[in-house]
Amino acid sequence: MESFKWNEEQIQKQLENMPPIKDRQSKERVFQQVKSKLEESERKKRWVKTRVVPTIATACVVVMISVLIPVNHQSNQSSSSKKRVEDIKGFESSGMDTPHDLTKNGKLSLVSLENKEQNSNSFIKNGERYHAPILKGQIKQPDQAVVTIAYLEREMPCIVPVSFLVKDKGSYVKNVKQVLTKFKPETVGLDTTILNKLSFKEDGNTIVVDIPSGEIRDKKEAALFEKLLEYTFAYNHQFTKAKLMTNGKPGITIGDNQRKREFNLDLVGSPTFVMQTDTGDEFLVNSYGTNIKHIPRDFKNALNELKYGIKDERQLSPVIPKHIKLGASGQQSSAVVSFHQKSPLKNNMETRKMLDAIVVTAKAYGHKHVQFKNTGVQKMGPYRFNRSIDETVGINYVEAN
Amino acid sequence: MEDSFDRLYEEYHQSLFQYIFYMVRNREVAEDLVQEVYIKVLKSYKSFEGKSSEKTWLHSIARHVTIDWIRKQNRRKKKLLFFTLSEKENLIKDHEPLPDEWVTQKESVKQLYKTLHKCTQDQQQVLILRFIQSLSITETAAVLGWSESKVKTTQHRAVKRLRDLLDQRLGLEEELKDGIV
Repeated sequence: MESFKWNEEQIQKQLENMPPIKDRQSKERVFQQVKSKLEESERKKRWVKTRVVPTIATACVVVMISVLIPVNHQSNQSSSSKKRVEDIKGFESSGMDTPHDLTKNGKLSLVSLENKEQNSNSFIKNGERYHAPILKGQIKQPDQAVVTIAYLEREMPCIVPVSFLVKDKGSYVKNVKQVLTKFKPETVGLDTTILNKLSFKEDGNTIVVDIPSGEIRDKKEAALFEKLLEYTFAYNHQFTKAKLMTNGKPGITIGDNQRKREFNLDLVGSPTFVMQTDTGDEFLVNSYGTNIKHIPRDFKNALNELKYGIKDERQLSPVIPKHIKLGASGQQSSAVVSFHQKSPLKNNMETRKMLDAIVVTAKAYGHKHVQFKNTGVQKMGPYRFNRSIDETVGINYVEAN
Repeated sequence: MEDSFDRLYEEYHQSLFQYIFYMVRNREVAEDLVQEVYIKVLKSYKSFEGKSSEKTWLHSIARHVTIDWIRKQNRRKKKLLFFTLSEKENLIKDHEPLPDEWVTQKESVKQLYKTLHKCTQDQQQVLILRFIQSLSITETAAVLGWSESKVKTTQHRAVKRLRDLLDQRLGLEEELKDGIV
């Protein structure tokens, strides 16, 4: 190898004589590409003008009406508010959540929360779309079923389990298939999933997965793939084992000619954090779904990470505000979380995300029920604090259409 | 639109492409980004007031498009670094292959190309604009939105830094030859 001692003059001279780099695209090709991208951007602009602007205008009219009506009907206010309180009491006594906590589009209904609690809307942030978990009591229709599917975040290998409410097709696998064909993950900043390339069928407690050859190339991909299957087929313990096939033959090859035929679906308990995708959608993710090695051994230790986060990790935001003090204990199927503070919990999105992350973490550690104590309030969102919180049956609710 | 494109392409295309390529070091990315530059240019062509020269205006747009892309890549790398790769693996992936037309070039040219990437982003921009793109101090200042004295200082420091890095590289190669690990 040539050894060359540089001085500053030589460096400048050499830089001036660096070989030219030429674009190999033809002028026509560049023009066509530029033209089609410009047309696409014009189409989008027109779409915003024709669809979004009228929608915003309609929304403004609705807001104005909702402001004006109470003024005009002040005399009727006391009787109608009494009725509303009775309605809410009715829901409480029936043990069911008040309606509309889950909106049609799957985003937490901030407006309904605001109306119910007569709160200010200061916690509504532009572009923030938070996907809340689904509690057992929120499933109202007998023919509704929850499906959870694991997707990957578009830019980083972090598993984001997403739950959908679907019309029950009679088997979990059929329900999964109907969501996979309908849902477009890119609309919420998630990547397309390998699950779309697989075929699967159920065999008792085992899910049999057939993978096209070449899809899983090494141990790292195999480990990620196993977690994707665990979140998809065992979030609610639907299956206990996965059997792997490649083009109809038993087993998959995972580098160095190692074969794997089956594995147990064991979702490891881990803390929950909030993660935002590039579309502004916010999801709850467990650290087990990332490459974070250290996982707290129990629920109590996991709550520490919920409060303080993980060192040097900025993508996963801690969910327990610094000023909140709490203690926890967990015994088999239930966990108790006690708040140690004088003032009641504030009814805002920050608190709601904290409560959601706590119940999701409790489920991850095998506690079906959570009891919140010393909250200072009776209820918040779907949570009633005078009794154990319903089991979480879904995480990150999104509408499949 | 086609007329404006034709003229800009004939006059500036290869120069813009080369600037973008030296900044991003990837042919496919440079091809995409140069198209982005035309889109931005054609969209705002009517509002170009001629306060700066067309050449510096175009380079300035190319610079913004390129820096945006580099920032996105850096954010992505940080995430990947945390979630999947050890630092060593990530650094190895940072080395883009040399352009294929450079196979026959002298080793010193290849060394300079590889080392240029180790300078700070500001230093790289100045070195590329001043020496590879042959822009004057005034033109470089206009592209970067800096004062001329800042361009001069950065250029001086960049060349010195490049020399230090090349010396370090030479020292390392000699150590390797002598079998020191």
